[in-house]
Amino acid sequence: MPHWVEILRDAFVPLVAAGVAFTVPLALLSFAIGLALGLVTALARAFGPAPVSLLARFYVWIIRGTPLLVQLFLIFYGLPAVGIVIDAFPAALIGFSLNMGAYTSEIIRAAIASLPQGQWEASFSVGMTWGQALRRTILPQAARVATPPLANSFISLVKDTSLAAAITVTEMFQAAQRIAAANYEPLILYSEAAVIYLAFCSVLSALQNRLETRLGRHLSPLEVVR
Amino acid sequence: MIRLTNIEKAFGTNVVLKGVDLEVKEGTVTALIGPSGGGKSTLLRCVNLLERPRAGRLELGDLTVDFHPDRPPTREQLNGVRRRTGMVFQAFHLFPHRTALGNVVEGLITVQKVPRKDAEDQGRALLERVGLAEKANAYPGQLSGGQQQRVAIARALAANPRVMLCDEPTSALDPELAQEVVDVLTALARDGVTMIVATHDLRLAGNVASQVAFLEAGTIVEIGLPEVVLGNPTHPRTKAFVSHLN
Repeated sequence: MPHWVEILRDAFVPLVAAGVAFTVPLALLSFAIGLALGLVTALARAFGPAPVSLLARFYVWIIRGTPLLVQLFLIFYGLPAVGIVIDAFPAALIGFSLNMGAYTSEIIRAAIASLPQGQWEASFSVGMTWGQALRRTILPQAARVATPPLANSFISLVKDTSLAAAITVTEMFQAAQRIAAANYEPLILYSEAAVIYLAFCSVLSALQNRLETRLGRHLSPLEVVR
Repeated sequence: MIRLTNIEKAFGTNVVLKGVDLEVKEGTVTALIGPSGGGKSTLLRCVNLLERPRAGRLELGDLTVDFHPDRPPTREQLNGVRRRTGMVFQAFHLFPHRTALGNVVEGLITVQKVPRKDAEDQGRALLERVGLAEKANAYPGQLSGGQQQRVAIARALAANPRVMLCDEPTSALDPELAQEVVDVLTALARDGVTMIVATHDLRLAGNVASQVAFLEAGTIVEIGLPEVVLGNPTHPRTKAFVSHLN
């Protein structure tokens, strides 16, 4: 067996283990929390009273306008200076969730705004309250519109979790760094890590396709953009 | 009795309804005709509170709502009005992600909390009534415009409203498809469904309605029997408008 195959093989299990133990949970949890945060922010921005709407805009402005790496450093290295000490993994989770919340809120807001006003009116005309109209009529249709850009954000997030290495989270990229530091084979190690990220993201792309098919099953073939 | 008294509505400084009075007996059909922008749609939308009048009174059988510029209707009044009205829109506004049956039962299940099984039995009967029993599982995107509007009529009927509000129900359809909608509405009128219909369609205004109101610039200019308002109107504006209808 050639030397480089041995290196790949020896590193495979620790890399995938780090991916499964940290990268995947970090991505899944921050996406779930971020999506919930994004929905609340979108609704606050679009429908809330002026101060609430302004607060939502402020949050999106701050998060989108500052680098993710800087945000992570502030949470993990900065906050202890004012007595707030957060472990590496929860710090990363907070950082990524806040980030996802800001970006997904704009996607959700656009998806809701893209629906015709008549959908609200038809819902009210059959007696629904605002909340029922939102839940039963608007969000299910907005979900279809929002799926491709949300999947985009999720896939970006999976790759961005590698930034957590910088605040000592032992996720997949950091595992690769450690092994490369020991065997001096950065080309092989980082290539292998890249391929595993690619594999994770490929699974997500496939899931996205299935979800789009499911959410678009009421559409005639012509209306489905392929 | 459905009664509107002195209904006033303004969008900003633009007053679109200037104290409209209208009485509709149960079991009758009233057609609203008149130029676009005259207030027909707004009047209909005031009856189910999609628009909130700034003054006036709305009576829907046992329910009375008085309007004030700075006091919105209460949640109970809103619910009461919506339960007593059904609306058919010019552009249908079916829920595209639900089947024909899903559209019809949506209000029953979500609002009235009718068990799904019972709601679907009622829903199928309503689809039967508009001649679409076999399309229960089709999505709106798979139906013709006429079929979509008939599903919308069934949806509006589901809550068994005291009055059906139809906002130009045939205007988005070609004459042939419009005919199927006219036929369904004619059958409902014969069954004694109370309706207020904004329309330019003489088949509805002339043959189905028992009274016709000519609405222009936010005022009912002339109201009476269809033969009179459409055939031999007294007001010069009505005369001019009617002469252009076919």
